Amino acid sequence: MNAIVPINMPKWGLSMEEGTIVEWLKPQGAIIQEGQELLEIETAKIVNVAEAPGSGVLRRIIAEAGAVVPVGSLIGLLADADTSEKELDAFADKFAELSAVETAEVAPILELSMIEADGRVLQIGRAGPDEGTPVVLVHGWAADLKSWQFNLEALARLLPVYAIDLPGHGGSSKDVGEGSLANLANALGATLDTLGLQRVHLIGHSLGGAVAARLAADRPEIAETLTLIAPAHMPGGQISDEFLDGVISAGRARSLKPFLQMLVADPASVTREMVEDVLKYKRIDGVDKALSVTRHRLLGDADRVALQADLAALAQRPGGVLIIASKNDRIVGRPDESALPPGFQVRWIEAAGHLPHLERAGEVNAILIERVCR
Amino acid sequence: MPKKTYLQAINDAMRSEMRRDERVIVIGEDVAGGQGSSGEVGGVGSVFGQMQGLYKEFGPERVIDTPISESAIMGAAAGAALTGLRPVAELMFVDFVGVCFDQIYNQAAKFRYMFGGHANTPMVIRAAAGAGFRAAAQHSQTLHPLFTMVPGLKVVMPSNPYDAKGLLIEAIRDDDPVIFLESKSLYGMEGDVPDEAYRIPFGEANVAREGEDITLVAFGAMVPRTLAVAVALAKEGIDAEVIDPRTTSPLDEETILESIRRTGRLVVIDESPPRCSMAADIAALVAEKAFGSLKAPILKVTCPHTPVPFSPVLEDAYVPTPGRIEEAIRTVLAYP
Repeated sequence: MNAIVPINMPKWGLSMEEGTIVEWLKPQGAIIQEGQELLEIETAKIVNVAEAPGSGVLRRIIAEAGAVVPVGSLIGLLADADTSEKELDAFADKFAELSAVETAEVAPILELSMIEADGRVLQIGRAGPDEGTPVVLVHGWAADLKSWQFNLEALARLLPVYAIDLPGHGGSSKDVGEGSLANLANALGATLDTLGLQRVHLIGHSLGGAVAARLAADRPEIAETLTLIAPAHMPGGQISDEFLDGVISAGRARSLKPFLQMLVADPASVTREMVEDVLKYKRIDGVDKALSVTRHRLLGDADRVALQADLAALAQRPGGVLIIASKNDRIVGRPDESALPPGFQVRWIEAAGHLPHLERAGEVNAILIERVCR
Repeated sequence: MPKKTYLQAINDAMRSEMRRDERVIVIGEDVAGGQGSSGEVGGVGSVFGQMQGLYKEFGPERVIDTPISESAIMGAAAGAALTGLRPVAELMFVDFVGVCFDQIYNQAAKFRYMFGGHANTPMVIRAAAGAGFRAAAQHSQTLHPLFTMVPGLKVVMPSNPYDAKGLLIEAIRDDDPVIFLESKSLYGMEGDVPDEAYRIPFGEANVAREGEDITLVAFGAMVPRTLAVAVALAKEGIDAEVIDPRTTSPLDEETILESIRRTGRLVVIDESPPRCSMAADIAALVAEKAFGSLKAPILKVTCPHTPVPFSPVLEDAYVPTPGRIEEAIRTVLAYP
């Protein structure tokens, strides 16, 4: 007989303390496979789907739709069909003895620190074990390391994980120089050097994908694998200036929201808190300049042409290059598979926009884990 | 993000601006403190500790203790601003503005106009305001209507630590005289405040809570309690929109009017006696510009038309209470 598997309120991100259950996607009594989408949860920052932590029958739904529950609390139980109610009761009671704080601490949290690299002070986050080839996550334009919040737990269970705030973003220096891919890639490379990481799994999103590709092209030995999520500057793609200009110009939550909604397939998933976070970021000294300079560079030809010229060499890498993309990406468009050199593989994600690692985290995590654990 | 108090946020803003721009100076009573007494010179840092540590870092040339003469403080600050410095002048309690009001409303506020644009007065006047401290009638007022009605002054009322830092940085960088009213009862309030410098523009309201049933406009210390009432009423299905204008002058009229066009109902919560209050000002604005959207009369929740009582029981009843705010909301929703 298999063990009873507890379903807990997950901890997404650094500041989440409680979540609201929006809807159970499977009824009590349903047979569940590990990794299946199980319930929809809303936090202050986002609405997302939690996956089943194990396989079994959904024997108990403990917290119903509408319940507001602290992180770590028991919200359901998976078990065999023949596990007795008494055993389930005993398990639930015992679980209640553990404080929510204890169970919340089990979830990996990014440890933040400031480092000096490439003449700038940069913020990085770290999670996971000490052994193994590290995973390095590079966020996109106007985002920061918190955008990996739904991917950390899955990756940090297996390998050391580092997430960086690029110059101009998050808690890092707002000096982006001329805002070029080379400038940002140098900062990334210098960060890895400072941390003593000689060979890593590079995973980059959007502008961060282009930065990761730039670094891997300039310093091939640094990347064990290269994975690009909705990357900028791919052949066939087109960067939306409506988005870039809109995010830079919008000074109020009301005017900013529609531009952030361009990022995702489901506009309802953009919460007030997300919009406020971006507004607060934009107010920080030096950010408007950093965003303007990088926007200008993103719309220009120099970086795009140079990167596309290096795609053939990147394709030759052992393991090639994996692109995770969506056909409905309103920010960078859709990469043209036929224009990519052999050695590039594209995995298409359905029902996602420009943020598949957030919108379809379970699916993307599975792909990433398969790639870095090979 | 680090958690800081409203007071620490103000101190943060001062320190970062004084590091960034050597023309920024601090002037007031006991802003350094300790001179002529035992203990460390500069150890006071203002009566609530707002200027803590600044004397130590920037010295007596930039952190200036004055005699007990508000007109000297404000006159010196106005003159310094006219001649190239960016003074942050402190009024220990806003109630003391009476003795120096000429320097503020008749001098500083009017220099730019009267000198045909050839002069700027980039000064900030910081003051502790508000009741709740058993400090009695002469140390518990807010007086923001007095400043708001003066053309040439900008008036800022932060309601939380994040806003306090961003608005004070903006005030120091603004080239006009800015009245920065710190709610005494909020000094201990904690919130997420970035270590980096950032600015919040004036004339931009914060919609603290979105809603469709009724619009609640509140200022300064009234914002947290109005928000708490709104959150409690949400459990009954009452969906209140809470607007914090952040600055009474310039005032973000558009955010308020847009909200009324949706909700049709307004309650204004203002820590001020009712006559010529911000509550009266906003009620008139809405009645004039959004009359067609109104579904009910506008209610004002204010202090009574009396001085602030010394009796603790009376003082607690004097300032708009959650109970009075709730009652006004229910009355408006129940109309006709």
